[in-house]
Amino acid sequence: MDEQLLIKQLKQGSEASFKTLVENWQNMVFNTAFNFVQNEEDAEDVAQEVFVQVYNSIHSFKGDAKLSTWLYKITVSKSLDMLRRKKRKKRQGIIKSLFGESSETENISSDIAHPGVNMDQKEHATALYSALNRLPDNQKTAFMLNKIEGLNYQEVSEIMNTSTSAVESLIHRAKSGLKKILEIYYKNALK
Amino acid sequence: MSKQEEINKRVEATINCLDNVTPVTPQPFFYTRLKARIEKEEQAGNSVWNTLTGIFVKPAVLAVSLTLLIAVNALFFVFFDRDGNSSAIADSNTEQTLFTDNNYIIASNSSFDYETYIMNDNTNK
Repeated sequence: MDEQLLIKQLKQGSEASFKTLVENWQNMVFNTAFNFVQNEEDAEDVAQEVFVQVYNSIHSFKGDAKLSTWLYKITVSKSLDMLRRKKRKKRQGIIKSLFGESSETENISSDIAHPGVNMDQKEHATALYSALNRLPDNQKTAFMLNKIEGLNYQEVSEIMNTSTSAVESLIHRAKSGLKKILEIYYKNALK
Repeated sequence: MSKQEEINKRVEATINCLDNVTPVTPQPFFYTRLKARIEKEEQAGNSVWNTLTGIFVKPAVLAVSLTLLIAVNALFFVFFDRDGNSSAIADSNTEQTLFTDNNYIIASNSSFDYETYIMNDNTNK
């Protein structure tokens, strides 16, 4: 279906159009969310939040950008929110445990079960995701969208509301940061 | 192969390990679960009241509100002590002054009205 027509029908409240939109984009939204939050349960939660926001705010979508850009923007924002919530919960858990209260801290750890990764690549993927979690949000986002989602600099810059040169710089810094973190990790592993 | 070369090789392999990875897809019936969530949220009602209570229940907002409340109280006590007057005396004095001023205004207005009345009366005669 033509994107403009789909948006027009969505604004008119067509449920069939909303279903079409979800079915067309659910894999992309879910996969992007998974790469950020690194587990299927949270990725499902983020993907649902994304489409709930689309459902509630389709009237505010002006159509200046592509629908995919808008969806990526919401997905990245919701994924980063989810990571912040989890970090906050973890901190609260640590404080509670200091005061002797038992708490179930959610683990933002390196134990990642990526269904798309082969067994022989699993260790590498785990190390990469752990290293990515230590990068600043903007570097992580730029790297994820370019390297993992396969978007070009122009597309990443539209999603991140920045210039292509800024994206290039962010990706360069992300790679340097990852190299440093991974070098320390493998130095310790090879001891 | 030296240890550094081994490390570099592993780092490169790690950075590129997700290049051709199969994308992850959601469990079947994603749309059904999504619709259920939307309906649940609509039933719960996203009213302004719910949003406001949601905001004020947050620990950070509560902490800031309490701090502000304490700060306002502290400021009140600081000013109260500096003047050395009780609020009751201040209120009474202020009220008295206002009362006197009003009387003056009333008297002045009445006088003006009376004079205007006499002048108009004389002219008519």
